[in-house]
Amino acid sequence: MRVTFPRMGALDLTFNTLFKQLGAEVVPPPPATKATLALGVKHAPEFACLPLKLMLGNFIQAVELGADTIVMCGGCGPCRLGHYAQVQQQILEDLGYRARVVVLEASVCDLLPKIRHLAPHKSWREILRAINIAWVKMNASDGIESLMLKIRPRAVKPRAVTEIYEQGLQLLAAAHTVEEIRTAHRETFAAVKALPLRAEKPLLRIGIVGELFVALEPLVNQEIERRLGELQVEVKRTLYVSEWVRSHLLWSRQARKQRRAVKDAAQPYLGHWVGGHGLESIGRTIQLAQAGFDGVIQVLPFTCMPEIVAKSILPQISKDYGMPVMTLVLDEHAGEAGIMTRIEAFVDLLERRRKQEDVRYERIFGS
Amino acid sequence: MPLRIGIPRALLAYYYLPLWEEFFVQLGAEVIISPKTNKELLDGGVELAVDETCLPVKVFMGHVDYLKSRADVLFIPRIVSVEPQKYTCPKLLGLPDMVKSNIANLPVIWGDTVNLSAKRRDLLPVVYRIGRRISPNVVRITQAFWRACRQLRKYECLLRRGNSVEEAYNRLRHRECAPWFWTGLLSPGPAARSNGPSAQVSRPAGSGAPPITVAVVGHAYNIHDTYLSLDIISCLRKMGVNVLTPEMMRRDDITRAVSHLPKQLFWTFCQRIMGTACHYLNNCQQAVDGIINIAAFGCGPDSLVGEMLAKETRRRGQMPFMLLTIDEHTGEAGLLTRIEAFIDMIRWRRQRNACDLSPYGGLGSNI
Repeated sequence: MRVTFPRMGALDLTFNTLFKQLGAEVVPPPPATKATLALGVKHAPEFACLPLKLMLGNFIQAVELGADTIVMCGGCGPCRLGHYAQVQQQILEDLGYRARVVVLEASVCDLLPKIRHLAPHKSWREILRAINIAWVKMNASDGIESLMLKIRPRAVKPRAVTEIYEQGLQLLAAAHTVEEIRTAHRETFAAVKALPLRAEKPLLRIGIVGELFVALEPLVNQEIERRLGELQVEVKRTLYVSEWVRSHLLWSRQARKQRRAVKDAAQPYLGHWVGGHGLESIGRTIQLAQAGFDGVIQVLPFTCMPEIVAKSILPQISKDYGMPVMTLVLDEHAGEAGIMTRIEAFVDLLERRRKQEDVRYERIFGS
Repeated sequence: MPLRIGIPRALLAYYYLPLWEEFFVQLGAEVIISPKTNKELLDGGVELAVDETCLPVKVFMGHVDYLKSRADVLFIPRIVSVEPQKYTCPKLLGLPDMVKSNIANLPVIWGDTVNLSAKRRDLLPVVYRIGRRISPNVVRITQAFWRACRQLRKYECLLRRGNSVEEAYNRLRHRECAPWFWTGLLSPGPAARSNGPSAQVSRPAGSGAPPITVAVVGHAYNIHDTYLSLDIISCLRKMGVNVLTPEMMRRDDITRAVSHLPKQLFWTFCQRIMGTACHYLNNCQQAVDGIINIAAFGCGPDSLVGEMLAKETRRRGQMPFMLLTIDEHTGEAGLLTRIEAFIDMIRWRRQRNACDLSPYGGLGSNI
């Protein structure tokens, strides 16, 4: 059995570890490039959302490399993600690729038996151990990512931060036990902390909300976080896969509490979940506004239904809270220059606003 | 002066308008229904809604805009689910909130949540909550609801007998239908008759051949909106073509037809579309001569369901299939040409008795 899986940001580290530990042969899909996207766009339905297309491209490339089992996520909500696996399987079959698609639904009761099925010769003890290692790795890579977002705008050389980040991911990829992962994590943290920083000054703070896949996959979002960091903006991403696992699979008390807080914050504007991350986008934007952020960027793939609901409500929030919100709709035609221009213009706008506010503050309080 | 309740004639009103109208009328309120979609309503909606929203939601905004100065209350329920384990689309889940943030100067909105995904009984509390706002009398509310349900049953019965939504609604208003206690008995519908035209289609004069029957599948708010779909049903009927729509199907036929799918669709109305098409593909190859799928531009579920349908028909290789995407720019000439070409192709196939000829270009039946 040669297993492959969809790519999403740094998530391939986790999947790679999980299936290797389970004793399966892993054929990771090659890093997504324009060619992957073109392959997906060619064979996917025209108006399907971008994640479906890119994942399909991943699968075709991986199957050509010899994978015969595709592990894919499912879903039962009104978001289209729940039917991706079936549509993709049909497309692959029609193209003549022979691959079994294993659909993991988002519940522990469904997940464990299917993982067990993927690793027939392992005991439950070994399976749980594999899951634990993958989980620790996921947390470590998310931890490194969120540290990068903090350090990059403050470092003298932002590019050095990106280099350390890539080295850190490689260290993580090579780690096979919990101890090794912790060491890699610690080393990366130490390397980042040793970097020379600029003199402390108040930075612009921008939150990123929106659809998970687009927020995580650098090919699609044109590395928006790195670009903002290099413009000396502190970015807070509200979407992490580990957060999702904590609240949807592990039912951790803290994550549930956080989810409830988001829901309560969104209540005056959106009174019901709408599938995907629609409700989260609204709630998190309000929370960020309350926390005094300078602006919020919503990223979504073209035709994403839940985010379109959020997009129609966000201008109202922006008006009520006096915080600019920019929406980036991304699809296969999104060009680097166009997005760069929009990001720069948005940052300029926020800087001006901040200066004006300072002036107004001085006038009122005469400091 | 009685309370004036506005109901937009868009989206789910195409399925439930008689129920809502009768309920409010029985409770003594005045019901104001927006006119049929026309250019002004559509243009108004396009201006109000966010660019990325789908066509039907844009139209809905136009209808709300029309009603906002004419009614005291707008009835825009949040219909999450109308049957267990299934949902409607995310945009319907966020509909009242999208309306509130996109349109200014709105009257009171009754955006009650209808969620029957757990059990159908959950409808009753919502009914009483809405009814209490008009009349404190519980008996009267019960009676009104009972009569409204009766009206809906009659309406659905009329639809099953081959009427379009507009015809069924008009007949219902003029009480041109069988007494309610017949409705269960007298609803064979064209779907149940394996081979035969539905009632009101006249054969083209002078031709002895049985008329062509085409299944037009799509959301009722697209195909029965005479402006959006450019009145495709009358167009086809004028050509002497018998038209079947998902509303003319019996629910158990639909469930049976889709039972072979690896995963049941979790969108109620898409399930009906898929079921109707599959029903004719499965059992009654002779009953319809072709399938036309009407999708709205930007509709999320339609993009996947259209793909699944096309693949399903292609696999069987026998049934002519056409996908028509409608948007606010659809021109009558373009649509008509495509429909005429499709019907001509069916006629030609018949004359040549070339049913083994694939409608997809190749010669074999397995493409």
